[in-house]
Amino acid sequence: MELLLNINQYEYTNFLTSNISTLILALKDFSSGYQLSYPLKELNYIIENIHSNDKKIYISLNIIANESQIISLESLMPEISKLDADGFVIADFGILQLFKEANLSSKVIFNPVTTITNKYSSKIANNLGINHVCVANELNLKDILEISKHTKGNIEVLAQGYYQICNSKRPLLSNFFKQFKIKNNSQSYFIKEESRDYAYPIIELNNEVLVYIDRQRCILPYLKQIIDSKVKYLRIDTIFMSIEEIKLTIDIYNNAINNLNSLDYYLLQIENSTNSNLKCLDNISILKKEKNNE
Amino acid sequence: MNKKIELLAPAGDLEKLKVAFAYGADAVFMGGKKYSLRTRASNFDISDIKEACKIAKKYNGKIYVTCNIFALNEDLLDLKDLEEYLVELENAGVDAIITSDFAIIETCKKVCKKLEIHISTQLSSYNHKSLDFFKELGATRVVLARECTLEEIKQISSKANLELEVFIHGAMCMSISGKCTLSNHMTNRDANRGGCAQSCRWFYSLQDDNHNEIGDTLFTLSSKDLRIITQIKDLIDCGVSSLKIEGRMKSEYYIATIIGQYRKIIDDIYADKLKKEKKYIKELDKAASRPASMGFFNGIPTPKQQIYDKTAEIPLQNFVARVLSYDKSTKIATIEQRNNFTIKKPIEIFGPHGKLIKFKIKELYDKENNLVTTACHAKEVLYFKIEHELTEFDMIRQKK
Repeated sequence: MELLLNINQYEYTNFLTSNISTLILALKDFSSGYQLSYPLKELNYIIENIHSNDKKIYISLNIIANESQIISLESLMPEISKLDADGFVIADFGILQLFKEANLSSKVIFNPVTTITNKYSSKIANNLGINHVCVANELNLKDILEISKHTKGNIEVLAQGYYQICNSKRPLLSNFFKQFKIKNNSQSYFIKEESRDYAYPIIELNNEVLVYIDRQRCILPYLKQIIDSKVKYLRIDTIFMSIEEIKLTIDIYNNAINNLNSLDYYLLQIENSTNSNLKCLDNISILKKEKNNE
Repeated sequence: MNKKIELLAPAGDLEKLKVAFAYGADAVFMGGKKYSLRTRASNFDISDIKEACKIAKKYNGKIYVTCNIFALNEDLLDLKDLEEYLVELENAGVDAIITSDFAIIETCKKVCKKLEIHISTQLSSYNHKSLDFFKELGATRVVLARECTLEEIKQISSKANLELEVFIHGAMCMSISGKCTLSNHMTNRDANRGGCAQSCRWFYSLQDDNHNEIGDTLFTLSSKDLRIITQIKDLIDCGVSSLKIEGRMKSEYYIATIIGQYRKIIDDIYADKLKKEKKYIKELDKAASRPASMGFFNGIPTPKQQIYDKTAEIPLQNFVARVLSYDKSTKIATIEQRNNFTIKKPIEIFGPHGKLIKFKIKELYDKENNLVTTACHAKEVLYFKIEHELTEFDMIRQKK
C-alpha cells in the first residue's frame, strides 16, 4: 500500500519529509484543478529533488485537451519523454495516445475521472499497457473491491479529500459576474441549490469551471477491506485543505494503515481535523458501502 | 463537396422514428432497453429495433443504437448477456452502436463482424489524437465533444482518419459530457447510467467564502440549446460525416419540425440555394421550448449563452394534432389530438418535403359525428374537411 499526495496549492517542498510514497505535481498549462503547477523546464530539478528525498513523483497532465493544447503537447513530448518522472497522470484519450506512441504507456496513471467503473474497463486499460488506473470517485466500496479483485494492474483510490463532480469549459463564474454586473473578490465560492442545506465549492481556473463535492470523501472505515483487496495506491487530494490539515491527514492515514483494528479512533481524528476552511454541515462523506436505493 | 452529409435524428419510439425518416433523416439513433442513457425515454426492445431496421431500409437509412452508459459491475454480471445483446443488434440489421464503455467496445469487436463502433460524446473527444486512439481501438466514427469550436472541428477533421459526427441542434450539457455527476450527488441518480436529474436546470445562489450570498439572485447553471445553421456549409466543406440532432426524449412534433428544417437547410446548401438564416430560425423556433445559441461554435460561451432565468423557457407554438390519414374522395382528414385547441383559430399544417398550409378548421367532428368546438381529450381521433391533400405524417400546430 502506497500513499500518494496531490500537490494542489502549497509548494511540494512542504511535504518532502512527509510519510508518503509519492508526490503528484501538475504540469503548467496541461493540468486541471491545480492551483499550483510547474513549468516543464523546472521539472528536471524538482524530480531530482524529490527522488533525493526517497520519494516518487508523478506529473499530472490531466486536462481534457483541445486541439491547440494537443498540438503544443505533441511538440513537447520529446522533452517530456526524457523526464525521469515515475509516472504521468492522464485523463484525455488524445494525451494517452501521445504517451502510447512515445512508448510510455507503462508510465501512465490513467485517471479519466468518471470512466473506470467496472472490472472489464480496468482490465482493458491494462491490456493497453497501462499498469495503474484510478477508479471513478462515484463508485461504492463493493464496486471498488470487485474491480481490484479482477484487475492485474494496480488500482488507485481517492482516500481523502474533495473531488470534482462537474467539469465545464464554460466560464460560469465570470459570466455570472458579467451578467449581474457584480464585483467580488472572495477567495473561494460555493453554489447552493435553493432547496438544499449544503453548498458545493466552485472554482474557475485555467479556462474551466470545476464544481467539487460538498465535503471531503473519506474511506477510513473500510481501509482494511480496501488494503485486503490489493488496492495498491491511496491518494490524498489536498485541494481546499490547509498545510496543517494535510500533514495531519497524512499522519492519520499512516497510523491507520499500521493499526487497522483502531479505525474508529482514526475516523474520529479525521472528523475533528477536517474542514477548517469549508463550513459544511457534516465534516466528511464516508465512502458508500453499497448502492443506495434510487 | 464530399459524399452528402448524413442528417442523424433521435427517436424515442417507433412512431418518432417513422416521423424522423419521413421528414428526411438519413439515419436515426435510439436507445435499446439495455446499456443506454436516457432511461426515461421509452427506448426500444429487440423487436422494436428489428422493426426500426425494416423501416430504415425502406428509406435507405441507417440505424444506430446507443450503448452509452459507463457500465458498473452489476450491469455486466454476465458478459454473455452483453454478447447476446450485441449479436441480436447486429442480426436485427443495426448499422452501429454508439458507446463509451471499454467493455462494450471490446465485446462488440469480439462477437460482431459488421456492427460498427461509434464513440459517444461521453468520452470527450476534443482533439485529433483522441481520434487516433479510438481508431486503433476499432471505432469507425467519433462523436466530437460539444466543446469544439468550428475552427477546432476544421483542424481535427483535416487530420481525422475516421468519420466525425457533430452535434448541431438540441440541449447542451453545461458540463463536458460524461464529466458531470451533480445528479449522482444531489439526487442519488447516476447521470452516466441514464439517471441525470438535470440538476444544472435548478436554481442556485452563489456564496462567498463566508457563505454569504452574492448578488441576491437565484440562477440556473443551464446552457441555452444548440442551434447551428450558417456553419453547416463549413461542416460539410471540412469533411464532417454526420450532423446530429439531440433529443431522444422529444416529441414527434419536435422531430418533424427540426428534422424537416435541417433537411431543407442541407438540401438548400447542396443546391446552392441557402436562404437567410432568419427564415430557417423562424421555422425551427416553432418547436423550441428553450432559447438557442451557437454553443462553442464561435468560441468560449459568454453570458448570452447561459439561461439564468427559467422564464426564458416558453414554447412559441403548441403541437395540437397529428394527421393519421386523408380521404381524397371526401377530402376528410383524420387527426389525433395532442394538445387542446379550438376551431376557427388559425392553425398551420406542415409535412415532409416543406409542406406548409395555413388554415382555419370550421367544423370538427368526433367519432360519433358530434360537432366539437374544443379538442380537449388526449389522443382523441377527430375529423375535418380540407381541400389541400394531407398525408400521414403531417403535423398541426397553433400559436400560443
